[in-house]
Amino acid sequence: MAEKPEDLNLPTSVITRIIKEALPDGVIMSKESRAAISKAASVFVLYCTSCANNFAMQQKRKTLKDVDVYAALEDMEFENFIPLLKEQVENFKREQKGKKVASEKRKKAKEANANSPTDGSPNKPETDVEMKSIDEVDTSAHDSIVIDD
Amino acid sequence: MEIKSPKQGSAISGLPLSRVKIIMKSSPDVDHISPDALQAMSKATEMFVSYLSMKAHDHANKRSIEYKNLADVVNNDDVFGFLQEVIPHKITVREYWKLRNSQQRSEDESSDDQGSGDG
Repeated sequence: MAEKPEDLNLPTSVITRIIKEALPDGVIMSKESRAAISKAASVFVLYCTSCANNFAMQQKRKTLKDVDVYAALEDMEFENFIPLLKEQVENFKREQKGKKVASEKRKKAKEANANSPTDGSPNKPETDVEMKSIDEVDTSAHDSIVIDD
Repeated sequence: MEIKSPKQGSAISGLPLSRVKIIMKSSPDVDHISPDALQAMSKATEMFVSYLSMKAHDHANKRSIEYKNLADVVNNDDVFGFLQEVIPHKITVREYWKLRNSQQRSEDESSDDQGSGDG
């Protein structure tokens, strides 16, 4: 892969926010420490990925799954993360499933509306069903897109 | 210690998944990453950042956290062993030169050995 070195850093703003949320109010962390934690987070991802990939290879799988990440965390002695993490990932899965159902519905509606044989490419703009599909997407999109002020 | 994580369903987004994915893919032998795994890794990283911050806070005085506190945590806790080279203790220039000289001396010795082997 031809990534730039700076692509391997995580955005400082997000890291700073996570740190701020973790610490009690009024406690400040030096800029230097924040930079170090950001770097540590990148290394954590790399290390954890490498451990997880070992598990995937042991199972003769080519795709990294969430179970590999749990196994890696256990291996790294961060097993106290796992219960909460599983909960969050399950939530995410449910959300994804909801989206999938919505998109299948949309596809069916599309098929019913347009009897064109050139169906199957979801990115293809189809003007006559556009209104309908937007309506249906809207219901699922409300869950995930929340505007922050 | 209680692990905090960003509030669920909050409008504030977490780490950018695309960035996390780039880092994961920079690891050799990683081909495909399922969306679940990506999500898990991103959330785990957020927890890790929280956890490390809280640990550093334990080592620090009440109001502010300095680099030294972080280095203390990393170098005293085995769980953070993989970070020892990322967050080392700071050393003075004098200590650095001492270290460098001693390393150079040992390198010279080893190259001397090689040189005599060649000749």
